[in-house]
Formats: sequence, structure tokens, C-alpha cells
Amino acid sequence: MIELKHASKKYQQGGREVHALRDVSLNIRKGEFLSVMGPSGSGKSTLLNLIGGLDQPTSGEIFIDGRPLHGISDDELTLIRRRRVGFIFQFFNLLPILSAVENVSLPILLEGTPFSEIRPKAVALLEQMGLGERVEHRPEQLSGGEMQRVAICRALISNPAVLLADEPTGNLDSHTSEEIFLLLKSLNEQGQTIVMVTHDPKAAAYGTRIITLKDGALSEDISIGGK
Amino acid sequence: MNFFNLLRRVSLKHIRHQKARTIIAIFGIALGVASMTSIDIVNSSVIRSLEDSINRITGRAVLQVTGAESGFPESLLERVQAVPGVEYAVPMIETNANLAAGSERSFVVLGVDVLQDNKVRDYSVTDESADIPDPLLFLAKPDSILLTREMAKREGIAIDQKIQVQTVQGLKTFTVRGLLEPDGPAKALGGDIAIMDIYAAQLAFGKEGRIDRIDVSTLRGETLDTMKARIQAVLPEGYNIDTPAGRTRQIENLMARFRKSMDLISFMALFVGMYLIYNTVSISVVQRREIGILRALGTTQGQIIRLFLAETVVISVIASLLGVFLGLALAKLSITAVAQTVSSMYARSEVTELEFSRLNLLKDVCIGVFASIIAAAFPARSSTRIVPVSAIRSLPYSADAHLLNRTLKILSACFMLLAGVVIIIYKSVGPASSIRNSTTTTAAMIFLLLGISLATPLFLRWFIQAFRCFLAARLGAGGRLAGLNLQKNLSRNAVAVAAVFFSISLSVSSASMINSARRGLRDYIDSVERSDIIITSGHPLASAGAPTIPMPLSMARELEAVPGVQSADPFRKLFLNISGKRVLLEIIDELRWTKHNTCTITEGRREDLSAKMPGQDNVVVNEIVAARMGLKPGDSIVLPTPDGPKRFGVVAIIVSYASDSGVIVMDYRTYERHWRDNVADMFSVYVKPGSDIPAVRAAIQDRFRNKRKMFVLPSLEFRAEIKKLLDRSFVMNDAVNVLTLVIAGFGIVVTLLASVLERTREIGILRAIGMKRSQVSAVVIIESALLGMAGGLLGSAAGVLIGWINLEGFFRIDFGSSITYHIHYGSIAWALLLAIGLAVLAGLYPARRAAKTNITEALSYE
Amino acid sequence: MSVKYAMLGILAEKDLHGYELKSSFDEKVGEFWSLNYGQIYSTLDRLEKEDLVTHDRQVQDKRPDRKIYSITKKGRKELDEWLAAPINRVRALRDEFFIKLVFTGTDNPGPVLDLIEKQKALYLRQMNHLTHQKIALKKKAKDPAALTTELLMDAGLFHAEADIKWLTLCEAKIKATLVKK
Ligand SMILES: Nc1ncnc2c1ncn2[C@@H]1O[C@H](COP(=O)(O)OP(=O)(O)O)[C@@H](O)[C@H]1O
Ligand SMILES: [Mg+2]
Repeated sequence: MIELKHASKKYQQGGREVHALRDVSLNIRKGEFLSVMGPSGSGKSTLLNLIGGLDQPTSGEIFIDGRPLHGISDDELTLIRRRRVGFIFQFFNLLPILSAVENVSLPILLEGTPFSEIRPKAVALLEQMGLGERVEHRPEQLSGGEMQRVAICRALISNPAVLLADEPTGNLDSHTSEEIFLLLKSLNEQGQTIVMVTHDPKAAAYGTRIITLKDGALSEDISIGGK
Repeated sequence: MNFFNLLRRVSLKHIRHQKARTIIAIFGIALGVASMTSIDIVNSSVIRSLEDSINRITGRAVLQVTGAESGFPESLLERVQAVPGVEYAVPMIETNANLAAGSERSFVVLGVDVLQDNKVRDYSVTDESADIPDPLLFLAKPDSILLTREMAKREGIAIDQKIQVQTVQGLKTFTVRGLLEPDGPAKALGGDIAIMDIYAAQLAFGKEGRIDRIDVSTLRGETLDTMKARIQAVLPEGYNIDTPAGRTRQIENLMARFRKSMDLISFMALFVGMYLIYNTVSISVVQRREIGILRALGTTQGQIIRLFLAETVVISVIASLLGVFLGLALAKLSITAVAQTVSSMYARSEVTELEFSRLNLLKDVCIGVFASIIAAAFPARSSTRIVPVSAIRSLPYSADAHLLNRTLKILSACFMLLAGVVIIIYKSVGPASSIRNSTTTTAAMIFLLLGISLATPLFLRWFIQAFRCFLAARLGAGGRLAGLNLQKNLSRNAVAVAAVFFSISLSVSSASMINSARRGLRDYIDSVERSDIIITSGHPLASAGAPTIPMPLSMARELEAVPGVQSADPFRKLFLNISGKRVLLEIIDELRWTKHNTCTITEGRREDLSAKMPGQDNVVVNEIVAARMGLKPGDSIVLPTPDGPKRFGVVAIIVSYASDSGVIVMDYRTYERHWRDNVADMFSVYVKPGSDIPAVRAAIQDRFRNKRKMFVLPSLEFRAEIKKLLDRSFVMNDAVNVLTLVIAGFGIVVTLLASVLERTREIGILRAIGMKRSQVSAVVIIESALLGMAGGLLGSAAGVLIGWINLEGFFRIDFGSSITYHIHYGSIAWALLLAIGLAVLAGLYPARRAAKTNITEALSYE
Repeated sequence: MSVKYAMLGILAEKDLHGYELKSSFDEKVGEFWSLNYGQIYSTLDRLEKEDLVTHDRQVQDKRPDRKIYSITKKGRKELDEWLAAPINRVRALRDEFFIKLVFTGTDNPGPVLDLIEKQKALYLRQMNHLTHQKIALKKKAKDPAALTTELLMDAGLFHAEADIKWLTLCEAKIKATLVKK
């Protein structure tokens, strides 16, 4: 479903070239829960950003559902992010000025749909995540775990083909983290494809497949298949 | 490295990192200081040059005796000469003339007593002519004239050459007998000076038996005050005995209003500059995480405040120095134009060099720095509210409400109330009260501006709430976000709104003011001046005393001889000195005037005008004079005439905008009898029914072609000319309006840029979850349009009020109470459009910047 | 030694006979200790000698009598003391892996790094397995004992994680010395 062919990414940093990703070829199947491990600086986020269309590879090709992510305009890429990809970040990245339900509705609001039309779906999602009481709260009024669940709702609202999570629990305690992982796991069991970046083996263990990056290259690929 | 070195490093780094914003702040303050400096320099240069010319022309004389503009009988000279303590008393005629050919430049002709004058003034004449072995010969030939070497060179005139000069009596031919070296009076007025014998000048300029001035030098040991008193004792009332410095002061007073409006302008410019500093500092207070870190590391609040103030001092010193240099350049650029305006409106001035002292420049720098520090103090103080914890907080945002607190609201209300009280007091005292001057209204205006400025956050909140209720939904996600973003940073956005408000109010107020003045003047002219053709010798709107060459009264008959002319009514205006006030005396041909004139009479009966005015010792006064002296029809007023004070009856009170210090109207025959003056400044020509105005005009021009230079303007053109002149006198206002708009635009750029930079992460998030570049830009553009709109609305409302206040303060004093306020709706529409357009323009760069945000960099923490 | 307290703990909840004791033991801590019946009974004998447990004989038809074990007062006291006392000893590195590391030597790090890699992958696999078991358990289990089991599983996960992290550190340090050379 997601396919990387010899994807590489170089950064220019102070005249020096940083090879963030070296010739990564990878095939992510539908329904997979892929954990991406590796020490910090190994290119995990870079890989995720390439898959999510936040960045474009220096060389190589990336496809989501057979559609190329390379060599397309920024607007096309933006639409892919909006409609086919859901992002979850370490720092939640909710808009502080919006309430929970508004944050969740954002991707569809960007389509120009009136808020009144999206609201029911957003509220339903929040309730499903146990945030029924928090619909009108602003991010600063929520706990870390709640913020991350709001972020997950936001990622899910457009029924994305893939959920991308970058260290989703890097900022949370173990128990809250586990709740988030269980949530992701149950989403995966309902058929949601997930790619999660983490340097935490405990987190990675929730995946159905674990790959490890080392210095921007794929070094290990453990496929367990869950059960 | 001690602690302050550390702070300095932090600051400098910061300044370097916020180049754009720092540059804009520097630019704002520099503009403020520059306008202040240039206005200062231009003003003092003009005054200095006037002073210099006066001193050169007065020579060694320490006192000057002057009367009305029309001059006074030469018999008074003997009386002054007889006063004990007087060393020399020499007569002088000072009049304007034009060269008929060449550059047609106007110059001042001094008619002096050739035998006596060198006792008071120094002349060095290049006498290459064999014709004048001694001054007596010069005297013997009435066509003799001396020009300055400079003027002769410029006009290509040689000694013994005959030149044609425009005088009251028409074109006259003179012979240049010698050239004056640039020394003494010959150096005054940039060399535009000619010397004649006084008797020849009396003849040539229609001043037989009269002189304009007596220059007096006194014996050693006599004080000026006693001499003044002694001379005063031998002269009738109405004469001025003044020192040259006193004359300078007169001109300074004359220019005071001009100066005041310029000062207001530079104050405004500086104020806007302060806005920018305030803005810059408050943004860096909000933005700088290092404050929290420094606080966490143990920096005291005082140290933080000093850090900001030190930064401000560095920036403002640079800015103010820049401003001073910019001001010098501006002064250099504008001095000629200003000198010309002053020449045509007030007094002849010829500025050759800029006049400024280092001390003054230093003062301007200090004002710039001081203003910046004041502007920076508020946000710097609020920096102390930053708690150390904020350095470690993961959510750097929080709604800021501190500008909306009670103190602010109360302060704002107080200022507005104060403005209201000042206005009410102003309106309730009589027109003659000493409170009624432009200083009071300026105070009211500043109170109002301050009050409204402080209320901008509140207004912006309402405005955005309204926007969110009515419009945001229609603009989609962008509209919602824009509204929310503005609300989140109310205080900073309010500053941008205030900057826009400020400049818009300035332009709306001056537009409405000018509109009112223009309409008032137009109505007045329409009511007073219904003739078909106007003939003037000088500039149509020149005030009395401005360099013009009057025309002889006899010209009326010549004009009436032109085919198609029904009648030509003469008109003369001059200033009288009535208890220290310069009151305009208008002399009209009463018989004809009443026939054509429909001027508004506030008290008295119209029939009385034709019955009691012609030839009798009666006058009509305008409201200002009536109010000041408490006059009613039937009362009497004493006017100084060349023969001493005379009592005149008051027939009626009328509306007249002709002068800001009062108008008295008199019949020509009465004037001729008492003043023995028979010249006119203007003729109003009525064309016979059925005659073609352009044809008559051409005929008049034809008739006087080679005899006299004059403006022959159809009334329509005359009015257009007046309008143009009015506009010209507001050209400085327009320039400043543009300037403040530009500065306001900068304010918006700074604000938006800051909010874009601050929101980098937010924009990154939005981009990550699928916001298009165009959508990001749209949000920023909508925000800036909203800021512009809010500022525009507030500015239009304030502008209407301020226009009214200024009208009260400046124009009503000038034009009398009958001028009504006309809001210039067109300018409001324009101002709103301009505000929004400018704001959108200002938003373009931040919008582009926002759209270009690198998503992954924005999202990587810190 | 902890087997003793584990058995005291089980008996403190409920009197049980040997077979039941064994299945309860397996259910609760079986992931970490597997004991055969012999070990169970020898431990019970020892505990009886120390007066920590006693037994009643239960008469059954057709079958030989069963011993029902129960905890004594002394036994309960000792259990409480044990439960309250913190553990002084840091977990021992029981792994053979450490011995292997010692004997492989760091002069030629190639094989060590390979070993570390393999070991890490192994742990990761284990963790993955354990995590999915835990998820499965969470889904069906409603009984109160499930929580203790889950906590034990978590302990296992944390231990494995610690091992992986330690291995990662080993790897990084060995590589760092390589770079220095
Ligand atoms: N925008 C960038 N500019 C320069 N270098 C970058 C940029 N983003 C990432 N890198 C470099 O690329 C490498 C991989 O980064 P990243 O993918 O963030 O690692 P990880 O998420 O695994 O910690 C690092 O060395 C990092 O310094
Ligand atoms: Mg990363």
C-alpha cells in the first residue's frame, strides 16, 4: 500500500551534507502496524515525513496506494496530507487557540465544509476516545494523554489511508503511554494501517512489524504478524 | 565576562536575529526625528534669513517707525528728527517691483535719502559710470536706480543700461547707475534689492508725500525704552516703534501658525515612531523565551527591564542620529519650497543657507531617544510578568488580556472625558476668550487621540467578535483562524490597529477640515465676489503686506473704457495696528459694492450700508472684531489714521473670512480722505450683459500689455486659483498623511511578521494536516485586512471628530464662526479603502513568508 | 527463596491441596518460574517443618486422602514481614550473555556486535510476543487476578527493555572505542 523505492534524503547543514536517509526501500502493507526504531538521528522522523508528504525525497520514489508522492506540486501533496494521511506528533501539535472539537474538525474545515456539518462526526470521535466531557476544552485545559487522544481524533477524522505517529508518547508517562498504544493497537485491529516512529522498544513491541534504522539505512526488519 | 556583558551579548544577538523588525523600528523613529529636525531647521532658517534681511536693511538704526501699509505723511519725519536723543532719523520707502523683462523676478525697491542714508547704512557702490560724480547727481536724475551686482549679473544687466520696471504707475524705465557690492543692505534678500532716491521712488510708486518707514539711530547713553517713549509721544496713535528684533518677532508671530501646524506634524510622526518602538519591544518581550530562561537562572526583574531599555537606547540612538541626518537632507530639499510659500503668503524671504546648531540637533537626538525609552518602558515593564516557569512550559501561548485591564479602560475613559470637557469649555467661553486658541484644541485633540489609542484593544475585541459573528463563517477555515489569531494577541494587534487608526484619522480629519474650509471660503467668495473678471497685481490670495505692486485707482476708468466692461470696482486691503492686533482693513467702493454684494449681515440693516457708508466716517466690522471689542451697530470704533486716531461709527456686523484677526470694511472715499492713498490691490470687473467674458478679458489684457503686469482672471479661474492655493497650503498635511500611512503600513508589517514568526509552529501544524500554501497566505491576508479595517473604521470616526476640533482651533479663528463643518465622506471611503488596501499590501510579505514555512523545521521542537 | 513466599502468599488467600497449589502458582507466576510437583511438595514439607504451614487430611471416596494445606499464624506473620520489606539486592545478571561477552573480548568487536544485534532482536521478539499476550489477556480477562498477571508481564517487558537499552549502550560504547582506535 505504501511503497518506498530507493528513497534517499540529504540535508544541507552548514555547507555539510547530512545523509538523513540512505536508499531505503520498503513496502508497507494494508493493515500493518509498523514500528520504526533506531537511535535518535537515525532518520526515523525523516522517513515518516517522507511517507506523510511533509517532505520530498532527494532521490527515489514513494507511493501511497500507487500514487506517487514525488514530483507533484505542493498543493497536490497538501491534499494527500489532508485526505490520505493522519499525523500524530510527540508534542501533540494542537492549535492552542481552538477547542478540542475544532482541532479535530480542522482537516475537514480546510476543505471548506461548514463547521456545523463536521461537528457531529468530530464529537462522536471524541466520545469514542473517552473525551465526551472535553469537547469544548482548549488544549491548555487538557492533560497530555487527553491532548494526544484529541490529536488522534484529528488524524482519524478524514479516514486516512495511513496513520503516522512520530514518538507519540515521548512526552507521556508509562501508563498514559500504554493507553495510547492500546488505542492505536485497537485501531490497527479494526484495519487501520499505522506507521509509528519510536526509540522505545516497549512501544515498538505493539507493532506487527518492527524495522530498525541505523544511520539512515534500513538495518533490520522483524515481522511478527501480531498473534 | 561580567553579567552585563552577557546581557549585551544576548541583546545584540537578538537585534541581529530580528533584522527586519529592528530596521523598521529604527526607520520609524528616524522618520519622526527627521521631520522634527527638518521642520526645526527650515523654520529657523526662514526666520533667520528674514531677520538677517531686516537687520541688513535697517543697518545701524536701532528703532523703526512704521505705520499702516499705505505709509504715512513725510511731515512726521521732522517730528521724529526733532526728538531729543535721536542721532539720525532717515526715511525709507520699501516697495515691491518686477522686472518687466528677463526673469520677471520681483525685487524690493528701497527708496532712501541719498544724502543721509549712509549715516545709517553702508553701501559700497561700484561706480564705473562717469555719470555720477557724486550722489547729488544721482538725485538729480529721477530715473536712476542702483542694482546689486548679484542681480545684475543674473539678469545680464550692465551699468547705464535702461531697465523696465513694473510699478504702481505701470511700466517705468530706469537707468542702472551703479552696482552695489554684496555688503550691507545689498546682501539682504539674496540680492533682490534695488536702491532709488526716495523722492523718485515716491513718484514712481504712487506714494507722493508719504514714506513707509523711519529708521532711527540714537545718541549714545539713551536707552531704547526711553527713546521709544519719547518718539511715541510725538506721533499719533497707531504707529509702531519697534526694534529690528521686534520686527523679526512680528514675522515670527506671523509664522507661528504655520510653525504650529508643522510642529503638530512632527509630533505625530514621532508618535507613530514611538508606536513602532513600542511594538517592536512588546513583540520581543512576548517572543523571547530567553527572558524566562534568564529569570530561571536568577536574573532579577530590574536587570531584565534594563536589558530591554539598554537595547532601546542602542536602537534609538542609531535611529535618532539617522533621523537628524535625514532631517538635514529633508530640510535642504524642502527649504526652497517653504521659503516660496512664506514669501507669497507672509513676507519676502530668500533663504540661502540652512540654519542649525549642533545643540539643536543634539536636542532632537535626545527627544528621539527619550520618546523611544518611554515607548519601550511599558512593554519592558510587562516583561517582568514573565515567570521563570514559562521557560520550561511546553505551551508557550496564552491569551493575553493585560491590556484590557481596568486601569486601561479607566485611563482611556478619563482621556476621552478630558477631551470632551476641554471642548465644552472651549465652546462655552466667548470667542474673544484667551482660551480660544489652537493650543487648547491641540490639547483636546491629543487627549482624544490618547483616549482612543488606549481603547483600541477593546474596540478590536468587539470588532473581531462582530467579524466572527457575521463574516468569519463565510470565509471558511481561514476566516475562523484569522479571527482567532487576532483575538489571541489582542494587545499587539491593537498596536497595529492604533497605528492605522492614527494615520487614517489624520487624513480623514484634514480632508474634512480642508473640505469645510474650502466650502466655507467658496461660499464666502461666491457671496462676496460676483464679478466676472478679477484683476489683481499680486497673488490672488496673498495677505496684505505680501510683495505685491498695487495699481492706481485711476485704472478703474481705464478699465471701464474697455469695450464690454460695465464697471470696475477697486479694492484695497491693508493691516491696521489696533491695540497690538493686526486687523485687516478692506477698502471698497461702497456704492458699487452694495449693488453687487450679498454678504451675510449678522447685525444691522442692509439699507444702512448704502445710506451710511459712502463717504462718511462709518465702517462695517466682522464678527471677530465685534466680539473682541464688544461692538454693536451704532457704537463707534477708533482707528489709527496717518493723521492720528479717528473715530468711526459702526454700521453693521458682517461675516468675513478675509483675515484671522478681524476685518474692518471702509468706503473708498472715506479711506482716500483720511489715508490720502489712491491705489487698489484688486479690481472686480463686471461685464456688460451679452458680452463675452473671454473676449473682454483679452481686451483688458491687450490694453495693459506693455504697461503693467497683472493677473486678469475670470472669476471661475480666480476661484480655482484660490482653491489651488488652499490646497497648496495643505500640501504639507498631505505629505505627512502619506508619511504616517507608510509608517502605519510598517506597523502592520511588523505586527504580522511577528505573529507569523511566532506562529511558525502553528503554521507548520496547519500545513502538516493539509492546509495549502494559498490558504495559509489567505489567513494572514485576512488578518491584515481586518487590522486595516478596524484601524480604518476607528480612524474615520476619530478623524471626523478631530477634523471638527481642528476646525474649531485653527480655521474658525481664521475664518470666523460662520464656517460650518462639512465631513468629507469621499475621504472616509478612500481612507477605508486605503487602510484595507495598505494593510493587505503590508500583509503580502508576511503572508508569503508564512506560506513558505518549512513544515518539518517548524515542527521540530524549538 | 521467593518460591517459599509465593507459596505462603497463595495459601494466605485460600486453603488448597497440592495440585491446586501448583495450578494457582502456574497461573500467577508461571511466566517466570516453572516448578514440578516434586519441588512443590518438598517446599511444603520444609515449610511445615518451620511451622509456617499445617495440613488437614481430607477423606475422599475411592481415592486416597488429600492433604489440605493452610497457613499458620507464624507463617502469616513471616509473609507480612517479607511483603513489607524492600529488596536490597539488585537483579542479578543471570544471563549467559554476560559470560559470553566476557569471553568474546573487545579486541575483535565484530562477533560481539553481531551477538548484540541478535540478542536485541531476540529480546524485541520476546517483547513483541509478550505485548500481544498482554493485549489478548486484557481483552478477555475480567477476574481480579488478571491485574497481577498484567503487572508481572509489564515487569518482564521493562526488564527486557532495560536489557535492550543496555545492549544498545554496549553497542554504542564498543563502537566509540573502535572509532578512537
Ligand atoms: N531540516 C534538517 N536540516 C538539516 N539536517 C536535518 C534536518 N532534519 C533532520 N536532519 C538531520 O537528519 C538526521 C536524521 O534526523 P531525524 O530523521 O530527525 O532523526 P530521528 O527522528 O531518528 O531522531 C539527523 O542527523 C538530523 O540532524
Ligand atoms: Mg525524530
